[in-house]
Amino acid sequence: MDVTIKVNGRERTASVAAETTLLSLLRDSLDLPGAKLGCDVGDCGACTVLVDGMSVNACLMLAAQVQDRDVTTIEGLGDYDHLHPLQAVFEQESSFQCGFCAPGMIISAKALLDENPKPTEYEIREALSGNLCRCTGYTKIIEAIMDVSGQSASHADSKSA
Amino acid sequence: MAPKVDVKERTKPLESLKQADDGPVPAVLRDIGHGLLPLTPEVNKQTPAVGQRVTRPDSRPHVLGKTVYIDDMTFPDMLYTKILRSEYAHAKILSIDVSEAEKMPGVVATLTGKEIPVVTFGPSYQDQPLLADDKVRHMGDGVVAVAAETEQQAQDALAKIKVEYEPLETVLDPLEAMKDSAPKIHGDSNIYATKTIKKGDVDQALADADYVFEGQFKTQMVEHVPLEPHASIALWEPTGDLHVYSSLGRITLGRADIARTLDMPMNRIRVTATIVGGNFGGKNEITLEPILALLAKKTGRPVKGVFTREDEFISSTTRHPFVMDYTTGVTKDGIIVARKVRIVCDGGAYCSWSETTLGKGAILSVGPYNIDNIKVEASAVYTTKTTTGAMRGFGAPQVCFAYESHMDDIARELGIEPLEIRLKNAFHEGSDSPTGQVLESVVVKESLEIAAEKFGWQEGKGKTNSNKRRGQGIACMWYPIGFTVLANSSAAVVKVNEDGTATVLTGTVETGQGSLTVLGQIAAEELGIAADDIKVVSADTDTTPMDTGAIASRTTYVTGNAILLAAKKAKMILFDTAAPMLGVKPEQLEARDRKIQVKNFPQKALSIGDVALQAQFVNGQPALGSASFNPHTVAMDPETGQGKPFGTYVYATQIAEVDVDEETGEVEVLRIVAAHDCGTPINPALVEGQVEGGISMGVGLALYEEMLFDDNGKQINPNLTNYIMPTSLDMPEVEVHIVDSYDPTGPFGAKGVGEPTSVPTAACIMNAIYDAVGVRITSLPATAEKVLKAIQERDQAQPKQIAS
Repeated sequence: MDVTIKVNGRERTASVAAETTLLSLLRDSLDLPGAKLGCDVGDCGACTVLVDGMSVNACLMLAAQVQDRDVTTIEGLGDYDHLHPLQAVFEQESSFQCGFCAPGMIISAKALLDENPKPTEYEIREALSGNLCRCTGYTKIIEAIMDVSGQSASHADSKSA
Repeated sequence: MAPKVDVKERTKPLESLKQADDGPVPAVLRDIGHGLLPLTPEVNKQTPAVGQRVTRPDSRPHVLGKTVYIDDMTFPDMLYTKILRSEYAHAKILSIDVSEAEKMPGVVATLTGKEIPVVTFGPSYQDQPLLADDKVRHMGDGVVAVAAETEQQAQDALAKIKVEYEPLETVLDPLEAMKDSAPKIHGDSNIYATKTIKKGDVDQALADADYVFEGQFKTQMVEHVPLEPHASIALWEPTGDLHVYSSLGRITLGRADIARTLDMPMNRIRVTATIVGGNFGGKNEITLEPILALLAKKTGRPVKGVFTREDEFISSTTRHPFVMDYTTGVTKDGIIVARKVRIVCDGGAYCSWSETTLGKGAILSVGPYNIDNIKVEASAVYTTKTTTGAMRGFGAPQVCFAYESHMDDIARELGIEPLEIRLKNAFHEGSDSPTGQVLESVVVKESLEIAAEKFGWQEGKGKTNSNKRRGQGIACMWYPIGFTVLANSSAAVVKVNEDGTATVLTGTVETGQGSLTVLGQIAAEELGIAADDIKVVSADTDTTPMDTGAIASRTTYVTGNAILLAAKKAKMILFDTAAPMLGVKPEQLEARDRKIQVKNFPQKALSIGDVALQAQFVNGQPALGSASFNPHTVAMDPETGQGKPFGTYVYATQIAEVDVDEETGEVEVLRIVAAHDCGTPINPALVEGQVEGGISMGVGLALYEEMLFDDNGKQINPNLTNYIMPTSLDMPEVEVHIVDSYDPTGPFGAKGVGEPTSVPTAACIMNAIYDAVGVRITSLPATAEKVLKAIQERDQAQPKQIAS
């Protein structure tokens, strides 16, 4: 079957099997490998993308369900010379380590800030609770989102003692 | 027979040919615009490079979603592999029939263990099969691999494979497995490694002690859960060479294992690692690589294999469960005079890194305390469970949980404050370790004092909040850098470019820990240039030199030292070149602020680029250096364990504040104050990141994570739905303090920080739970159910007191 979606502002069509997930459509048919496959059952959030502005696990959605809908992946946020403010702050604060969770984490953060430009720390934690990270303890990710939303994070920066 | 070739000697000495001509040195345009490069923060351009919060060179690809992990790579005509795993935890394989599977749509080839030239591998003993060929020893054992046009087709074909098994008796408990009556998993005994450490006369000292305390502590099996599952791709080049792309954290030894199992020379195998999506010790072993290579050979096509999340749980290595018995003799003043420890390590179905874990665990089990009379006896035992191997801390989080829980129990009985009893017994500069090593750059007391001060140790005890009771707990630890005695070498090459920038070649792998950043800062510092002036090229066995890998918290110390030495050699060439140009001796020069300059006369200087050009074009001596570093160790005596197993150690304290709900048993960790020594922090931001991440892993070990098995040895929670790891909601507020220390043997005084960050976390949380509700949790994890049961037992043992 043919599926046509608007992804990162471009209309794209691919021919896929009926059981194809949105994640597979993006990664395997549309050359958009930014969203990652970490568990394939919606537990880890590495595949998070926006569908009509809402964050979803792309591994849990069928490609057919996004027909004619608007999809934003990490590739649609910024490019090398023009980082999205979230991308810039995460880079600046060394928020990520292995980076595998980064695409999903950034998309979840964007979904939150689009809805709620000044979230509390708890709201940030809640918004990221579907995105697992094994490296960072989430700390620098949460701090970066506080910072980019113009709020001073409860910085736990090290002091040489 | 090959014809005899007569090789004539060169008649002209090579030295005479090396003279460069008198032509002008090519002009290299400097200060060209950097408009095509990202705007990086000023710190990336500053000297000195060491100590700066330089941003990571891998951050830009990460935030753009452009980092290429193995599963993001495809090659034309590539096939996909899936593995059929065992139906039994212990069984003989009587027959394997793949004929029906091979007829399935899309299936191109299958592979069994019998087809692998050397089927077994392993870092200590080669006891682990790539695919089980005669016997399965746990349910994660692979039996048949299938390569098909799509992953789904490969998966579907697995159901058509017929394997006939003769089931054997299983043994899941390590204490049971030690008994003579237990079924034997390999050979005649299930005890496959033992370690002994002896010092003084422990029995006499226990007899003489004012008090003797005993305690038993147990830990659980835990999975690394890297977000990126294990993945690799194998393809054969038209030259006949094998190229493997892999998520391995240690490519040099990975290549050695691939060469051994395929019976191939190393120069014909190229292993390229990408940025690895999390390691934590779990990606230090080959898994699919030789299997994919053989399937690629059979089919003439590239073959990819990616673990499913279930494969990660049931088939990759895990953290060892420990059973630990402590007997400790103390004076009435709280001075520890004797300690006896017995450790039984559940070694799973194969050895993997158990021997190393056992050794490290045994040494560290005594704790960071001055104890004159010691006896540690540790055994690793086979069970028919998932293989246990290297995982962040190599046994240290297990023993720290035991010795620090035990310490609080002793303190309470003696009426001594937990901080005070630790300060009384803690190592000091020059302390004699359990193996008789004189310890240097020891800051365990400093870490205790700093953590206590920053936390406000005296304040906030026993606060109540409806059903919740608040508590605080402290734990300190020591941890070594590098392997236990084992050779532990890294090599590095540093090349100075003709514009004064430099390129570093290292065989280590960026697995998220920040090695590309930190190693670059070390090279930059030695060359007097900035972090942005360095590029670190890593993890390609065809181009980068030998490195023992991203393991054992060794990269900053061992690889860092190799890079430092290589940079020094390159710098010496620059000095030798610049000295006559500046009319001084080489020893009068220094590399600073991107110049080679005369010490104390910075106006007499040349740009590093000019000197590098002169060196290459005029002197015929390129400004490149290569070096290797291996920490100095002395083998441990097999009877007593005495020796110098490590180059250096780090020290740390963490203090946790928790709320325990007395009605539900639920524990919430509110905050953790961590004071960690890492020697000189090469990049404080990355040190903080390691501590924060290590603590989240420690919280998981403490409260949530446990791989559970049914009576047949089948894992019942091999997924992230039922295996609970910390989310952003579970992570406490973390405050990181870097304890000032300097190790003269480390690069610019640095030691390391990766693993120790998760070592004291579970211990301090357990002590905080005790402080809150007066129950001692002796087995991890402290699930709500377990804590509630302990609270109920407490209430049965003594009438409930009114909360004060």
